Formats: sequence, structure tokens, C-alpha cells
Amino acid sequence: MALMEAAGLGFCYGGQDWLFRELSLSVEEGEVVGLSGPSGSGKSTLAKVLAGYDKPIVGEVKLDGLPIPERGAHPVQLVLQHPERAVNPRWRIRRILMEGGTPDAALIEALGITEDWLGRWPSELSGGELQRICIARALSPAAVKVLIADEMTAMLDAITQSGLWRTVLRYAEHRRMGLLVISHDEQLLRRICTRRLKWDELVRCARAQ
Amino acid sequence: MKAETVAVGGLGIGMAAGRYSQGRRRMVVGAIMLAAALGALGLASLAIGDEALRTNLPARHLPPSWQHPFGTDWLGRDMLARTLEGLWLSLRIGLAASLAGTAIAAAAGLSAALYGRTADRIIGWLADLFLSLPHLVTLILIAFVCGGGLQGIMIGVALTHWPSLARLIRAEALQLRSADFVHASRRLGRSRWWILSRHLLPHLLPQLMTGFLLMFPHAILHEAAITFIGLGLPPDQPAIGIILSESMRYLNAGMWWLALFPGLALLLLVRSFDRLGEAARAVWSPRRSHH
Repeated sequence: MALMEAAGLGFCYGGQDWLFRELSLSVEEGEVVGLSGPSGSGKSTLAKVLAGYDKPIVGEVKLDGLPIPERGAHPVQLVLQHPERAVNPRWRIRRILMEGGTPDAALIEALGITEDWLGRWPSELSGGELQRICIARALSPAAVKVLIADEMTAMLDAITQSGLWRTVLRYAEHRRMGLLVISHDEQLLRRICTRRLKWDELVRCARAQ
Repeated sequence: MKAETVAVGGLGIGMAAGRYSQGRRRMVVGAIMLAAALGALGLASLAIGDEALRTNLPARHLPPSWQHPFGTDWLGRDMLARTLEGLWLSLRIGLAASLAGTAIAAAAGLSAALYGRTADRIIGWLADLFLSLPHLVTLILIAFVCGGGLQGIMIGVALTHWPSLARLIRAEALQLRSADFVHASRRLGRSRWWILSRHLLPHLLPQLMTGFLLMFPHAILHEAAITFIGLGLPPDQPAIGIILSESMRYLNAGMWWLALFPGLALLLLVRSFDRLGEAARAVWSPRRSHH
């Protein structure tokens, strides 16, 4: 049985045309699935639906074959492209980091988060630094089984990017998590993914059915 | 480090920062001055006691003099003492009424934004209802139903002044509700109440404070207006509205001081709260606000 399975998903924003319909997708334990596709096609919306930010109009997302409960920490966590939007600008970093529970100390260290960041405001960290906080926060609940990285490192330089991915991949493997990586960066996907998906194919095979 | 940033940032940023802190300074100075004036008013009204307000018939209808700077009324009561007492009473009524109004606005705005379409529609309809009539008309009706007096005025002002602030709060809350960090908080396992109190309310606090400050002068003016037409406070309470209403009888006898000084004092008080509210709005507007 797949770790995370979405069957027959359909979503649209308030009475507009369908962004996607009959979309099916699964992520296995320990798998790194890459997803690429043209801008504005609905990849990010799919990520938000999978992570429970938005409810699908039709279809369902299941974890280990069971529906995901509405309350409590969501087992599918999402890290977005813009970390500054994913944190409350009026909170200090320490509070943001602890919002989902206390993150693993080893992970904090591996991500290079230092003590002196914790007393600052989000606007006093760089995008890359803030993104590390978001990653640590998303991985902190014990219930997390799948991490979705939506253009997670798109704004970072190549060296920082590869360092960050190395840490995340190692941690995901250690916890036997599934990973869904959404990116435009073909090279990145080729290097880290165990399986690749193209948005057009996902949607086309849905249309063909 | 900071000076360098400004220097590198160039003239535009430096000028914007200067204007910003100037607005903030003006607001803080205004708030301190108003607080000092209010403190003095409170102390004065405590110090006055009953002596100055006692009927003193030989000294009635006296124009302003050094002994009675605001003159005396037809019962020989000192108008300065009455004005201060009246302002103090109006202030307390205004405070209670606008606090209640702000609380209603916060509850209504948040419920409309967070409790689904039906709640939104009902609250929107109620807001339209209260906005479609002039405040004074609704206020008169409510004060009449409540039988006049202190309670009637406070309930009336609170019930008539919430809609516009509630709309603002609703719009802000709708925007916040769909913010990424609110979604993230929910999916990290936080409850709705937790998010409301930790994420939404702190963000809305500046709007609520501004709304409260801008509601305050309205509350005082409406209290005065409704008392003036005789539906508010009983005549034995020295509210500004009562004083002004009584002074009308003596205006054509040339006793201008009965209306002028209390009226000016009311105007000054209302205007300073209004200015403070406007300054707060400029400083705390969501676009400019920062941690």
C-alpha cells in the first residue's frame, strides 16, 4: 500500500474552470518523487490540496489507506517557495520554530540554524535562513510522513541548495518519509529523485481515463 | 550598521523613514498630552465636590469673572465646575460605550470572516440595517426603548457604532485567514482558537485600537446630542448635553457664557480624540505596520 495516495482529485477556485480533475498520484515510503511542469499549471495548488491547506472539490488524499483527520498535525507537510509568507512577521524566530513542537536537535544542527537567529524577527533573516526555519518547523511534528517541497530552494545559490537538499534527503531517509519535490530545475530533479512525474502526463492520463 | 543601510538605501528611504517616525512622534506626544489632560480632568472633578455645584441664588446669572471663569447659571452654580464634571461624565460614558462598540465590532467582524457564508450574510445584513439609518435615529429608538438614562445611551452608542469597524475587521480577517502562515499553523496541529488568539487578534489589534479611538468622539457627541434632546441622562446629572440644552433657554437673554464655554470644551475634547485617532490610523495602517 502506498504511503500517501491521492485518488480522483479535482480542484478549482470558487466556480472557475477545473485546474485539475481525476488526478491520481502516490508516494511510497522512502521515495523521492519529482514533479515538473509549466508555470501556472496548478502544481502549487496540488501541493496545497495534498497538504490540507485547501480541500479538494472531489476525490480524497489518504495516508496508509486511511483518510487524514481534520484535527492535529497533518502528516503531509508543505514547504513553500516564499518562506517570508509562511511565517508570521510579528513573531520571533524561536516562536515560529516551535510552533509545531520541538524540532529534532540533530536536524537543527544539520540545517545550520544557530542560537543567535532565534531572538530575531523574520525580516532580520535572509530568505535562505528563513527557509531552513520553515523546513525544521515542517519536520517537527512526530506525525509527519510526507514532505512536499514546492520550489523549496529556488531562490538559493547552488552550493547552499545542494547542502540543504543533502540534509533534507538524509533526514527523510532516516525517518522513512516520502518526499514530493516540485521544481522547474530539471538538473536538481534528475539528481535527487527516485521517480519523475511530468504535470502534463499526470493530467493527460487523467483525461484519457 | 543601520546608518550605513540608510545611506546606501538612498534619499528616498531616508525620507520615508523620517516622515514615518515623525508621524509616530506626533501620535505619542498627542497621546501623552491627552492623557495628562484627562488625568487633570479626573482629579479636578474629584476635587470639586458638591460645594461648587450647590445652588447659590444670590450669585446667579453672573458673567465670567476671576471668581467664576465660566460664569454661573440660573441657580448660581459655578459653570467651570459643572463643565468639568460634565466632561468627566461624558468621558466615562464614551469610554464604556466605545469599548462595548469595539468589542461588538471585533466579534461580528471575526464571526463573519471565520464562521462560514451564513454567518457572513446575517452579520452583513445587520450591518447594512444599522448603516442604512442615521445613527441618531437608531440611537433615539434604542435609548427610548431602554428608558433613557446612562444604560440606554451606552447600549445605543455601542449598538449603532459597530458596523463600519466590523466591516474593516471582516476584510482583514478574511485576508489573514488565507495567509500561508495561518494555513501552516493549522496543519501543524494548532486549533482554531489558538490561531485566532495568537495569529489573528495580534494582527488586528492596531485596527481595533484605531477604531476605538475614532469611535470615542462619536460616542461622546452622540451622548451629548441625545441628552440635549431630552432622551438621555436625567437633568440632575451635569452632562454636557444637559448643560447645553439648559443654556438654550437663556441664550436669548444674552447669557452666552452658558453655552460657549461648555460647548468649546466639548469640541476641544472631541477634536483631540479625533486627531489622535487619525494619527494612529496613519501610523498603524496595515501597509506600514511592522513587528
